[in-house]
Amino acid sequence: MREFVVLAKAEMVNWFGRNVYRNTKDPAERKRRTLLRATIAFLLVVALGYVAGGAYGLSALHVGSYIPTLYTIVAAMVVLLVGLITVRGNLYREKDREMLSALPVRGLPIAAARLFHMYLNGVVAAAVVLVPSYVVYAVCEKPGAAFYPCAALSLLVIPILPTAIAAWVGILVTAILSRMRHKVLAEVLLAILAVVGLFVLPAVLSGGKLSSLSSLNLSGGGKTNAELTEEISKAMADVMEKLETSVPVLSTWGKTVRGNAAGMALFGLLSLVVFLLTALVIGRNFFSITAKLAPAAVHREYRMERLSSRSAMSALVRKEAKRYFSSGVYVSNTIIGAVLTVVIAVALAFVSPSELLAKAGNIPVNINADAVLPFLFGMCICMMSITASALSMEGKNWWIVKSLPVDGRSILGAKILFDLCIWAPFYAVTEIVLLFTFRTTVAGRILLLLLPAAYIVFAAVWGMFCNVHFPKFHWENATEAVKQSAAAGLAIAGVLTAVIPGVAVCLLPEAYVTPVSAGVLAVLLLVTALLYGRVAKTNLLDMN
Amino acid sequence: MLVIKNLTKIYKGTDKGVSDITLHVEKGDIYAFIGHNGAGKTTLLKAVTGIHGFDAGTVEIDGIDITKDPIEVKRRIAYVPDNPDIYEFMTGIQYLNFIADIFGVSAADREARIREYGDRFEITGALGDLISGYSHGMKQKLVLISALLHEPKLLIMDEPFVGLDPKAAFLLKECMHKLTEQGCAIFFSTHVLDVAEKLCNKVAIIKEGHLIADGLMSEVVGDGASLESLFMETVSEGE
Repeated sequence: MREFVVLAKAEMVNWFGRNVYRNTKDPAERKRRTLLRATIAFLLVVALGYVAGGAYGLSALHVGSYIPTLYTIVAAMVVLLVGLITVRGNLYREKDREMLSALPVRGLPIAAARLFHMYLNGVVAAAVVLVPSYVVYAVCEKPGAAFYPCAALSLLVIPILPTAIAAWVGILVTAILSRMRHKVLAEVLLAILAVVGLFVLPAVLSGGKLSSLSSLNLSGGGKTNAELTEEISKAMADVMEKLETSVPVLSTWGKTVRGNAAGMALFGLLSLVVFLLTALVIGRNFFSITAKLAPAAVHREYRMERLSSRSAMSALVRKEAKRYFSSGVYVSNTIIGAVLTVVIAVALAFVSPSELLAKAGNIPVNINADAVLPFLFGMCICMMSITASALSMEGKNWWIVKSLPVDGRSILGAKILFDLCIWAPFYAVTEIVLLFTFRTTVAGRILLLLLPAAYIVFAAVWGMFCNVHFPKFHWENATEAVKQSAAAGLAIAGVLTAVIPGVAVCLLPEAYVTPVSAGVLAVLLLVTALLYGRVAKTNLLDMN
Repeated sequence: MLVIKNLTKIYKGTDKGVSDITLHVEKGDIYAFIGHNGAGKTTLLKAVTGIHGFDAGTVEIDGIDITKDPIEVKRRIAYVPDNPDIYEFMTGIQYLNFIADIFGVSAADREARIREYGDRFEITGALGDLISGYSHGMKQKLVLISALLHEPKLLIMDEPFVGLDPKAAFLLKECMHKLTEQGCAIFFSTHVLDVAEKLCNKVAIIKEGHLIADGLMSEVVGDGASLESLFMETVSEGE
């Protein structure tokens, strides 16, 4: 137990970077971390608002009684996702394997401490989903007193099982990947499958039970909003009832979270047993598991062959490519949006956005769905910017770039160029599909070509601008640079903000769409040029 | 070859760094730079190579001011860091090709030099492997080879002997002599005082960011003394 406490303390000492924040003497580092905290706080507020809004929507549709059932399931899925994303860099991280192997500690307390760390991360993730939804439920649905102890208990209980599952899936995935030659490709494919699975799984699990929603007739011309709301409420209640009937465990779970404290305690106990068993099994075999999961270096005797020379820019872009494709996290985090965009473009070849809206029924506001298409495609392809992490990914290799006889403009330019090279094929395929299948005016076609391209270039330059101002060179795992940096968060926020005019355009009358879209294009290009000017003047010497 | 005048670099928010350093490294010199941990050796080397900026003073390499034309300066020098953190996602040969491309080394020249140094440091057979699989010593050898690819006029090294096996350390010393015979200058930090004493014609000692002795090895050390005893004496003064 003493070993576990010591190791758990060491695991948690820098939780969310608080130890570095508290002790850093570098003002620039403190500033960067303060901004990161502010970004996280902002995203947290957005997430809390989004969850609370969703829960309130359910309550307004008179299905508020299902809030605890639905949101506890969502929380468990979020914890599982967080666990899966972090398990390799957390439970099975290699960095301190040798150091720990040399210490007089057994594998069990190490595994237990790391699992505990993952569990606490899960508690935070679950709280983001559960706290606002429970508050809405308590205010709007006014549950009995039995709900409150259950709710409090569920915050601690729900993350246990998903964390244990993530640990096992982590072993499986890492074991598969460590034996594969093209492990990055396999990792990216697994990530794409997981994302697509998240979309498809609910439909498969419901076994068509959601058909009540799709068969809703909302096109009845003379219906009032109240009547429409009533219809949706009935349909949703019907879906939930059918789901609970066909999946009895859902019904039991619903009753438990709504006020069966004993049931929740029992579930917690069972989850704990699974968790402890996981810790025990992984802990007992910890060193052998981590040793087997460690990538093996393959040696092939090299014989000197003919070498060729390239330009410095070509060498820099090729270096960017090698780095990008060497990191599964980097690739999967940035490329999924582009892959899905191509899939959606192909889907839209069969059903146009206007037809989709027409099928949905009468919308109170007149939306020009076709007008928003270029904005949406531009955003979807490049929302997860490669350049936002391109500088941070240099990490401990940053000295190499700084010592090269190449100016900052070329170094940053190569990163932007590589970003554009990655999006180019996705852009080309999407455009080819849309231009051949989407019926619009000549001006519409030109905008369909130019607007996404402008967004892609803007996102690349904006991402670089963010990364130049908020680089994160000190990281232990690429995930920190790719997913948990201020630059990455700001880059997404910037692209989302830049697409807001697209939403405005789709609300405009037909005659205004083309000139306003062209105006947006001009402003976007101007902003991009200004940003590039700032980026090109960056003094790399000041960045550490 | 290297003229440092009144160089000062203090890290923001701290009192650490180097202060008012003046130093001359001439063509053909093997110049040792010694000091205890945290004395400011790496800070000075990084400022000289253009990796860090500095607050005051000037650095001229081959007559070019590093603040005015850093790119031209970097073309003429090579830097070997204390920790060989190089691109682990590349193979050894890819890394060498990358560096050669950046420095504009022709295909024929890079081929000849990689062959020569690769064989000499016994690393040619491993050049097709990913650098992530290299030992510390192999990475150090690769960095050394990459530093020599473009035949620098000034070679700056931070603790170059750390991690090298005895044979590689011997080869490096041999290389250093050969380079200086060809007109190259070498400025390097080290904690291995007996190597510095035997290998170098000049030495500088730094303590808490200030240069406390520099010049010809024979003059700095003096008759009958050793660099080790001088170092212990000078760094202990005032403690």
